[in-house]
Amino acid sequence: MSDVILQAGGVHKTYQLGRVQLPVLRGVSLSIARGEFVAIMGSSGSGKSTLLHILGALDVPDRGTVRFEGQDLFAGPASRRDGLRNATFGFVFQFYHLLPELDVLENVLVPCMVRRSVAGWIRARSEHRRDAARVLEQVGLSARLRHKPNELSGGERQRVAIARALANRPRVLLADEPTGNLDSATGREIMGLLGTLNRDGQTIVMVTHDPQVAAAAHRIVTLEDGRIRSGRG
Amino acid sequence: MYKLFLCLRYLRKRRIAFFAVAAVCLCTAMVLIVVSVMGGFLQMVRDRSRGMLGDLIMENASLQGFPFYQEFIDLIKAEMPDQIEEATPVIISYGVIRFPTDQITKPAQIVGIRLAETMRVNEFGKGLFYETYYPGTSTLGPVRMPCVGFDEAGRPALPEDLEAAWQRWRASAGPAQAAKAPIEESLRYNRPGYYAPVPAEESGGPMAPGWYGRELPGAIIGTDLCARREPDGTFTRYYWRGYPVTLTFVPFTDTGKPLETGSGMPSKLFRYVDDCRTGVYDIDSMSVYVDFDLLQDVLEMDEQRLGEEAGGGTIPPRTTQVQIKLRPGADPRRTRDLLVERWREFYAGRIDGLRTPELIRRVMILTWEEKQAKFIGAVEKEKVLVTTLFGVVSVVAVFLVGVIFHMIVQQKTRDIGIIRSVGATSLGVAQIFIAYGAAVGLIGGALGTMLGTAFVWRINEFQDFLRRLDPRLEVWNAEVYAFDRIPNTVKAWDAGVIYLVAVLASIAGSLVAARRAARVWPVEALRYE
Repeated sequence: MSDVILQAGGVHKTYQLGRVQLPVLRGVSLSIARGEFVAIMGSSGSGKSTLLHILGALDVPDRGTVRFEGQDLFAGPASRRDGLRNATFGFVFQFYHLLPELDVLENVLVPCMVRRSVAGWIRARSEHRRDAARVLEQVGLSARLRHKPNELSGGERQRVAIARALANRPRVLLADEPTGNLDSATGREIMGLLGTLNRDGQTIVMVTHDPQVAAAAHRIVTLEDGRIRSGRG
Repeated sequence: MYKLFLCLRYLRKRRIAFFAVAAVCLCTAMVLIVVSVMGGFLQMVRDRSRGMLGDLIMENASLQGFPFYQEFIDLIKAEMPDQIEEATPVIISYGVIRFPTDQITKPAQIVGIRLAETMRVNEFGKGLFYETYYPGTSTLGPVRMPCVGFDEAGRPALPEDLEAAWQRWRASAGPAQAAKAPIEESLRYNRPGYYAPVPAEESGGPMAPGWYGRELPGAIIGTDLCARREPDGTFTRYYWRGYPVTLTFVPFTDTGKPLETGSGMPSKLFRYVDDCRTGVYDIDSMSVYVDFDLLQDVLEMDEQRLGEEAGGGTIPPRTTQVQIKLRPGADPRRTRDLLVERWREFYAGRIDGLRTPELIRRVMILTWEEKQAKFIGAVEKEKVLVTTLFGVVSVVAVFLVGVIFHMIVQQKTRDIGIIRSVGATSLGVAQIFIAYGAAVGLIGGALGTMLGTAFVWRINEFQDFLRRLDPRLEVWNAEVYAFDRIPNTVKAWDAGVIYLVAVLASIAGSLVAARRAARVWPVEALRYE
């Protein structure tokens, strides 16, 4: 494996639930190498999704650092993190989270639109459409470009979510329970797809509670009560 | 790009936004209609005021009038030719008008004018009916009754001078306008209210068209005194042109007492030569215009010799008003000030020996705006009040847009999380909803502007339709509102400002929701399905 691309150091996160403070991460440190496929396992409430969100700059730690290629992810303004989320990270969620008013192609193009002004989009849209079509072909959905999410199966929706996450050629793909809402057969298809992407060089960090799903990863890190219990941190 | 894309997509797909568009549309239309009608009403008041009075008015607000008016008119025309274009005296008095065959008697404001001068000073001439189609034939001098007969070919014909005037008008108006004239060739002979046939006692001969009956002085009558307004906006005249009418006068002495005459109040027969429509119902239902010199004579406002018992001497001729037309570019207020000063100098040498010096001292010189200030001011305040009230009601649209957008943000919380997860900023998310609000305002405002404009343009037809359906549905009664037609002009400036305010109001309504959308924490938004 090559050098470290993403590194969390002493990350703490506490949620405020009314008057009660709920510590979710208690000093988690984790390094992800370029091209690595890491699975983060743990029971419900162990903090694995929170860790994933912080690794992808979707959430902010209370204490600790996260570095991407040596640069502190949380230094600077929020807009810098937003830009990194668009250009560097790709998220896949358990519940797919597709925009219902947009068709498959448009859902995949949303991250591309985020980084373009109107004039920039007009100049580059052909290129972006080609790239989106290529990614959708890669995930096996080239025949469904004009379908709305409610016209797709669960597996197809998750493929669209993966394609959207790959639209801007992210350096790291962050998947939160990608098979959690799928039947076992479809789940295996999705895991097969992730495996193929990883073999092509995509760095993947995946959260799962299923050991069979986690087995596809190079490394499994187990979280318990907000701390890493096993697996190299 | 994503902001514009999602804004337009949500606009098309979220039906709840249509309610916001409808709210903005209706409020925009409502405010535009109110502003246009009230603004048009105010403009009509101003235009009609100026049209009937000239630029400056000289009067002392009494029925006795004031003397030395002609000398002053001659003086100011000679001394201020660059400012004064024309000036004419007017006598305003009161009496009754009676139409003999109907035995109908009505109150009347009897106005003495010099017709040619008056038509140069104000827009009196534009409201004359017969003068429009037979230019140069309306006169307040002695006149007989024009009657329609038959020419040598057996075709209906009017007296030669009227036929010639009619042809002159047709030539200048053009065929299209001539075809629309209420006096069409086929109508002017048989339809009541235009021309009488040759009298029966004359019909023993060839019934040649001509002027019949004895000469009587002419009178121009307010249209609503001698005609009935039809639902389609035309007027049906009760009397033929040249019909005799009786005017009874109420003269006053220079000291303000009713003039005692041995034979009761003076009455005279006149001929109805034309009718005048100013569009102001109060004027058109009350006014009768006769020759200035004749009225001055009847009211004994011309030069009067005082008997020995009254101290001898003479009372100079009086008029109740002088109307002055200024040249283009002359400043009305500055000219008024100059005339006030000049009048004081003028009468200083003439006031001694006058039986009623107060008649001179109380002469005021006003601009037409000052003369009508109370009425115009009241209408202006009414316009501001009504516009403000409807503007406040329209604030409801802002709240409605706000509520609808609040609901949309609630429904779109997950979408906001999705968009944030792919790198959109919180400001960008807020901008989606602000753009959404702007789009609602742009579309709703445009629809409302079109709807309001169409309604105002057709408001009189709509009123006529309601009136035909049921007279009780009439909403604009000319007797109450002074004008006989509802103003139906939309000013581009008003429409533009109201449209802009609609867009801004819609944006304002979306701001709270946009702020809320910006503060959505993506992790929370994406937690659930």
